[in-house]
Formats: sequence, structure tokens, C-alpha cells
Amino acid sequence: MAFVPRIACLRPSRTQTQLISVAIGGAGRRNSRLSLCRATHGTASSTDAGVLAGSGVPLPPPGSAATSPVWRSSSVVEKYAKMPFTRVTLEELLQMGETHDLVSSARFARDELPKRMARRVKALQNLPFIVGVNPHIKSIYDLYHDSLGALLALPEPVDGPSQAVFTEELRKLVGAHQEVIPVLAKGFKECGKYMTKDAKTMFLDNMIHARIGIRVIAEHHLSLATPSPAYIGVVNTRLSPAVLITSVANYVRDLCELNYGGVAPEFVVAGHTDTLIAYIGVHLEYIFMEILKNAMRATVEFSSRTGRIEHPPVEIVVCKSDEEVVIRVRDQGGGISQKDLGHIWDYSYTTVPKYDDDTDSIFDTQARMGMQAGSGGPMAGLGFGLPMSRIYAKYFQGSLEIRSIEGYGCDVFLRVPNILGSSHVIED
Amino acid sequence: MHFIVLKINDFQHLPFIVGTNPHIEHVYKLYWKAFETFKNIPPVVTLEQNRDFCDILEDMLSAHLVAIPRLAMGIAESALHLDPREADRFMNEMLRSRIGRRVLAEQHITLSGVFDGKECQDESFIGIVNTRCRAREVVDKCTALVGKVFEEAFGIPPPEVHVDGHLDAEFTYIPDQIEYIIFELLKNSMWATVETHASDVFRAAMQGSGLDADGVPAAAATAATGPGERRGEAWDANAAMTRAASSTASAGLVNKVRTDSPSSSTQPNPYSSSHGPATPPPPPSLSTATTTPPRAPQQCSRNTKPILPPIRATIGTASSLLTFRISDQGGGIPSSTLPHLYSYSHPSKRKFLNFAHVPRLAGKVAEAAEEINHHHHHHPHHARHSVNCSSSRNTADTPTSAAAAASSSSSSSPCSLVTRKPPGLRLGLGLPMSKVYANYWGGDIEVISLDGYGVDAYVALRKSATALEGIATSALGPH
Repeated sequence: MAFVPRIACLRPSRTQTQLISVAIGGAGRRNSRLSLCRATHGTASSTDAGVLAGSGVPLPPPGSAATSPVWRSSSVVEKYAKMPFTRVTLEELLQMGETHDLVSSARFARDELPKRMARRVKALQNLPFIVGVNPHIKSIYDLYHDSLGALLALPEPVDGPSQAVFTEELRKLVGAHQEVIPVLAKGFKECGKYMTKDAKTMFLDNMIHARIGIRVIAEHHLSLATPSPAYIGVVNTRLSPAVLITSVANYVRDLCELNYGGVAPEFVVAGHTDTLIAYIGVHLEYIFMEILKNAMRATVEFSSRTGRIEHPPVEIVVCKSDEEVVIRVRDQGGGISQKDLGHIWDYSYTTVPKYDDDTDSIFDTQARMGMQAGSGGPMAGLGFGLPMSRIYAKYFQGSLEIRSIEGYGCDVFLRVPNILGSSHVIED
Repeated sequence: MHFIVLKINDFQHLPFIVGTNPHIEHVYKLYWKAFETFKNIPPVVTLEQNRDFCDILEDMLSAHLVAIPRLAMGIAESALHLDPREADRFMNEMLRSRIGRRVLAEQHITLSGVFDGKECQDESFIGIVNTRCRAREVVDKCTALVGKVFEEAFGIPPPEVHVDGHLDAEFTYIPDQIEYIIFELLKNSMWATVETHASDVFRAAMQGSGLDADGVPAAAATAATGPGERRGEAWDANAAMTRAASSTASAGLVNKVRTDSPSSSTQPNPYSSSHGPATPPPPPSLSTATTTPPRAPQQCSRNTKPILPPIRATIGTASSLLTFRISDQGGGIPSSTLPHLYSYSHPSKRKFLNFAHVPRLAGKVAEAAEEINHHHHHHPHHARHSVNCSSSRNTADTPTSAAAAASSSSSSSPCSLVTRKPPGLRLGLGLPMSKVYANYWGGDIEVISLDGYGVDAYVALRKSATALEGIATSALGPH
């Protein structure tokens, strides 16, 4: 996609201008959204959508200030960003699920999501210019911006049919936002150096935290619309951590073998393996994935560094007590050095060497690139795995901790509280 | 001596009411006496003077063995009057300074002894410091020792300890200190393991030694032992141990009953005697259960040994750090207790009141070794406690409190000043002291609990010898 740099300042002016969506990047997807936006009803929100998307006005030539995608429609964004969002608890969400009132659930999503999306757009707008023009980050900005418009253009769900339409469109939007974090990560890897560490950390913490909330609300409604047994919306009431981590571990083993060749380390799951909890499965899945990737990668690399023939297995223990479930993942990957220990929670801190710094053979370079973009997803290297896992873990007042035995291996402790009946507020 | 003065200053800064606690006062007087003694020692210039100096030091070390138990008791009793953080800070400072002084003293004594030819040392030793401390050996030694104490206490084989990691790692440390830490951690692990996986054995052993499940002297007998039972007796070590042995647990008969009880056994094991009418105490090993009459430890009435999950000790070494990890499956630590693990004065630490049973404590593993030997010699315990402690634990109905007083006075009859703990006894001091030892040279201890499953304890030690001692030197204020 052609990227045309904009001269206009990232801090938008407040002039109310009828602008249209300029096709920068992702042409196919955007066109479909454009057409969607054109087919709006005459509701107040669609006017906002119209402001955001424009209706049928031909594209002005690129380069003109009037078309800057960044400061157009700022007033709409401001308007929604300023609206106080409803502090909903997980319990309330689940209650909506119990009543199977899809229309209410849809209305709630319809009302809440634009506010939260607008805040994200605003946060992106407030990034330093040099960061915001990075193609990856820019694409995320556009994505959020356009999704906001699309959301506002959707019909108010008042009955069965309009709810169905809304739900279907919401599903598409959620799908479009699947890869936001890896793209953001790539962007920050390239230009994070232009921000202070604290500013970067705060932006990313907020971004990830808010995104979790947005997705919980959105996916909760979607799940209610297509119910599964044992699920209340997005919460799996009969989640087996042992079963989940086993399947993730098998997947990571495959990834490991793909990236490193040879045989991946075995793994063992012990403890209270028949424990069942109520939790949001995808959250746990993500955390397990990151922890296991680290464990297996460390084991393999340490073995090769020390000439160890057989990889010691990764040992996993599931422990249930009254208040929480603790999952411990133990590896013999050599531990984390004192130098690195202070940085493991930093974004974009990775022990994967930059491939352009190495003078290794082309095959090593290929392998490294493969590790970042591997067919199953990156094995390592983006530097987001640990900090993001911790945000997921803490989202419902759990925790993620690491203990390193330098020279030997690491223990990772994930604590997962029981979230049924949780009074946790899904906030921004 | 500088250290002593600093500590005296700390004492003087305690709240008045705390300072008047008899235990605190006793230790304060000890320190003061030490100060006086040191003040009067002439500068040491000759070897002869050095030998005299070493003798004085040794005496002082010996006399101050009471410091830890007395301090702990005093602090526990003063819990009402002292902010817990202040109490913990005071104890930590005391212990740290004490370690410092004792290290200096012992180092000097040892070095002098070697110089004089009184002792010979391995070449890896410099005084009390071992420059080639082998991590594996520390673990093995402590495993053996804890195992013995365990068998004494519970009569069943201890859980196995599997060691892995860098088995040939070496580091420079004072063996006593690291052994203390590992010993305490292994002990905690083993105790927790048996408590979780063989709970009837555990409870029986506790009851047999007059303790409740926490290792605290039980205030009341749990079984019918007859009208001679007195609650005040709970503080009397002798009575606690013999109470279960016979229904005639009256004061005057205390020592006598002790000698009588192990009538039909070659190896006296008063801790597993039953509550009921006097029955012969059981042989220590559970595996011979079938041949013995039924009694408390056999209540489980199984012929099979309980399966105790092993404890795992891992050693990891890197350029500047050596780490021990002790992992057990002892059920973990409840989250309510977790914040107070290293506290001395939290109400959950009423265990400290056990110190009545252990008048002198050096805080060393060597004591545990001697404990085993002494139990086989039937040595009566002498609880040199003040009347205060028994009264603090007295509950309302003590019809025979007079007898209790009589018993304490009779038990302070001339038994020697030997301190040996009943193996089942827990003092609650292991973790806080281990932390002080670990922190002293810039290391640390961390305990992670997987509630419902077990505990992982990490001990990280610096390998570089340049870490300074961590003793606070607060400025002496005007008085």
C-alpha cells in the first residue's frame, strides 16, 4: 500500500469539516466499509458516521490538508471520547447472558463500544508525530478510526432483526482487529526509541488494557448470540487449565521444532489436573502460549549453548486452593541473568538478537526471521509477550510472577482467581 | 563492642512497658554486662592476653545463647504494646547485629585456636569461613540431620530429598549460616509434607508431645488423663511430655513418671505415647506396626507406610549468584499467613511462646545434631522459664494452679542447663532468622506458596566476597 506522508499536525484542529475516508492502505477492506457507511439510516450516530466516512463525495487529491485522515472528524472522536463510559462489572455482563436478552446486550455493546474506541483513537492521536507516522502504527490508527465510524453507522439494535444485523457487523469488526497487537509491536520495535520508556509503557499498558475490555464486551455479546454449552458469553464455566495448557504446549512444541529443528522439549502436567475453573479461555490461552514459548525456547537454546544432549522437560503444575488456581511452569533453560531480570517486563525488550546485527550465515538469518514470522506466529522476538501476559493476568486480579535460578532455569507462577461472581469492573 | 553499644541503645529506645518485660530485661542486662566486661578488657597485645580474650569471648557467646529465645518471648508477650513493624525491625536489627558480633567473635576464636595449634583446619577454611563450601554437601548434611529429627518426631521415614542442578557448585560462605537456612527450609518442607500427606501420623506425634497441630503446647489435654491435669502445666516441658504417659501427672511425680514410662521399650520415645491409661510406648518405626499394641500413632491402622512426596532441592550457579531452591508438596501456606512469614510478633506467631521449652538457642544446626544424641540419653528438660509465661497462658479454670507453681519450682530443681527441644516443637523462628542470615551478606530468601499444593523456597547468595555486612548503624542519640 502506498503511504503518503501527511504534513498536517497530529493534534487535530477542531474545525468541523466534511471529509471522506481516504483510501490509504487496505483498499479492499476499506471499500467494503465505505459502502457499509453509505448505507446508513438517518440517525444521529450515522450523521457522525457520515462525518467520519463521508457519503459519496469523491476523493480529493492526496496531499491536501483537507484530506488528512488524522485531523478530520476530530470532533466526533472528541465527542465520544468525552462521554463517560458505563462501569460494568463482569458479573453484570454474565447476568445479561443468563437472561439471554440479546437485544439488551447488543444495545449495551452499541452504546459502550464507540466510547471506548474513541478513547483509543484519541490516545493514538496523541502519540508523537514521528511514532504516529510509522506505517504499522498508522495502520492501527486507521483501523480504530474506521471501526469507530463503522460502529456508529450501524443501526440501533431495537429488535430481533436489527440486533442480528448489528451482531453480524460486530463480528466482522472484531475479526478485523485480531492482529492489532503484533502490528503495534512491530511498529514500536521500529520507532519506540523516539519515546521515553515511561511514555511508551504507559501508552501500551493503557492500550492493551482498554483493548481487553473492548474485546470482552464485544465478544461477550457475540458469544451470547451463538451460545456454546458451559459458556456464559465469553466465560467458559468449565475450563480445565490442565487440558488447555496441554494443547497449547503441544502447539508450542510444533512451533519450536519448526523454528529450531530437532526435537522440542517434552512437557509434564502434574498437580490437581482435574481442576475446573470459570475463566475467559482466550486470555489463559494467550498467557500459556507466551510462557511456554519462553520456556521451550530457553531450554533449546540453553541446551545448545551448554552442549546438553537431551532437553529436560518443561514441568507444569496446576494447584487449586479456595481462592485461586496457581499454575507453575518450570524450565531448565538457564534462568534469566541479573542484567536481563530488570528488563523482562519492558515492552520491546527481547533477547532475540536483531538479525541485521549478526554476521551469521544466511541460514541463521532465515531461521531468525522465521522465528519472528513463523507460520504459526512468531516464536519470539517482539518483546511483548511477558508484559502483555501480565496485563491479561492482572485483568481479573490475578498475577504473573517469574523466579529465576540463574544458571539453571526459571519458574513462572500464574495466579488465576475465580472470576464467577467477580465484581471486577470492565473499565477503560 | 561498638555493636553491643548500638544494641544497648536500641534496647533503651524500646517503649518503657516493653523494656520492663522480664525477658527483654534479662537480655538487656546480659548486654549491659557484656558491655561492662568488654570495657574493662585491656588492649590485647600478647598471645597470652589473646587466649584470655578468647576465653572471655567464649563465655560471652555461651551466656548469650539465651538471647534469642528470651528476646523472642519478650517480643511476643509485648505484642500489645509494640507496633508490629517496630517489633520486627527491633528483632531483625538485634539478630543482624548478633550475627555480626558472633561472627567476629567466633572468627577470632577460631583463628586464634588455629594459630595456637589448638585446632587444625582444612586449607579451604579461613577461620569460620569456608572458601570451598560445596552446595551439594550442605544440602546432604542438612537432609540427613532433618531426617533424623523427623524420625524422632514422627516415627516414620522422612520424605526423600532429591538434589539436582549444579551438583558440584562451590561458594564462599560461613557454613553455620547457610546450613541453618537450608536446615530450616528442609525442616519446614518435611513437616508440611507429613502434615499434609500423613496427617494422622502428624497429629498423633503432636498430641503425644503435648502440642497442638501448630506445634504449640496444647492448653488442654485432648483425652482423658484424669483429674491431675492442669493447664498451667502446658508450659512445663517435662509435664507436657509426660502428661500423656500416665494418668498420675502430678507435679511431684513429673520426673519420676518420665523415668517410669518407657518401661517396655528399649528406645524411649515419649512423644508417641498414648493419652489413655499408661501403655507401653511404641517403637519408633511405623513399619513394625503390626506387632505393637494399638496406640495413637497407629490409629490410622494401616500397615503400609504413608507415601510422602519427595522434596526437591535444586542448585543453580552463575557468575555472581548461587541459588538454592527447595520445593515441596506440603500443601502450601494459606494466604492469611503468608504476609506474616517473617514476622516475630504477629498474633499467628504464638508459637514463640514455645521458647519456654528451649531456654538457650544458638541458632545453629549443630544443636539439632546434639538434640538427637540427647534424646537417647533420657535427659530431662529443664525449662528455665519465669512464672510469667505460664501465667500468660493460664486459662480460667486452673483449680490446681498452685500445683502448677509447685511444679515449675520443682522442675527448676537442679537439672542442668541443657536445652534440647522436643523434635516436634516448632518455634516459628526458622524463617525470620533464615532471612536475617541470608540478607546479612547481601543475599535473600523468598518463599512462594502454591496454596493447596506446596511451597517453593529460593535462597540466593552472592558469590562475590565483597558484599558488606548489613548492619544498621544508627547514630547514637543524646540521652
